[in-house]
Amino acid sequence: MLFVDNLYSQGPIAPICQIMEHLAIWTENRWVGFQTEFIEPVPRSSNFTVDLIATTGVGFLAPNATIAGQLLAIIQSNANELVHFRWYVLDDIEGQIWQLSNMSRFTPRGGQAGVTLFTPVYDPWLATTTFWVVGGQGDKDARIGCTNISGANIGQARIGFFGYRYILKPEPMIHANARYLPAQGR
Amino acid sequence: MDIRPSIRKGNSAGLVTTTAGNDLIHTLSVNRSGVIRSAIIRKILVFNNTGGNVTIQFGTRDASAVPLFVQYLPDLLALNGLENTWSEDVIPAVEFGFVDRLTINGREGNIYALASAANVLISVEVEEFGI
Repeated sequence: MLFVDNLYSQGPIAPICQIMEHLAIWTENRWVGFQTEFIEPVPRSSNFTVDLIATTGVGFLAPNATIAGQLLAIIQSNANELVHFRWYVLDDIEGQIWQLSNMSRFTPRGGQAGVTLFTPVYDPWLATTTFWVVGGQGDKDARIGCTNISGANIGQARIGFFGYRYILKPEPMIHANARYLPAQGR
Repeated sequence: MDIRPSIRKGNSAGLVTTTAGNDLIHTLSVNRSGVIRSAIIRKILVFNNTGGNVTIQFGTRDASAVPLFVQYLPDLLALNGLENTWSEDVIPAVEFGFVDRLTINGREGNIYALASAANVLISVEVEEFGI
């Protein structure tokens, strides 16, 4: 069977490259070259779970009410670092992601897709929720917001993240063997 | 994989005390594009301490100017002094869903209970279908 090692292939999350391999990252509307110096996992854990209602202090979220994209420290990265995350929701909400000056992600012409309690039903490894954030100059961060689709008032809007952290060394040119990945919408 | 993915949840109204009128039990979820999930009642827990047996009907409301109760399940008899339980082995998979409300045959879809007496406590578990 032909196996295509795609960025969004179904299956458990795994590092996108090995240490010392090369990346080309789409950020700030251009491809930028890096060499990977270090990789470590970010397993599912308590401090990588956020409650957007508590974070924003709104108390509760009425049916169909939204919380605009929030700049969350837990999914930011230091300069010349990359975070590689998948994410899930714990409450009956639809989470959405924006990146780089509020550019909506997961957005074909038909609208901005989101992550719901049903997402892992079809996509048990959450591969279709994959995103990257590269740190450094400029606004490269991701913002996470949500809509209450439960039909009732809810007191929590919890979202969790897991994946990998990479330390990168900028390269003046994109290496011939670089692996290309997007850390920004387009 | 189930072609119709679902999630189970408690009824949106939480613990409901009947009023002997239409009591909202569960509001169906609405997604960002306005599509409404449907739901099947999977468990019913009723505590009746009113002093007499109470009949409970589950249904939804129609599209009348003053919405009228439409019964979906047969009457359930909640015996006095007991916690009365029904689960999916005996509850038929009657699906509560939105039906266009432009005509009188329209249905709100949200789940209501109509009890023959007030002060009966009701909790329900539903399975919702949609996205």
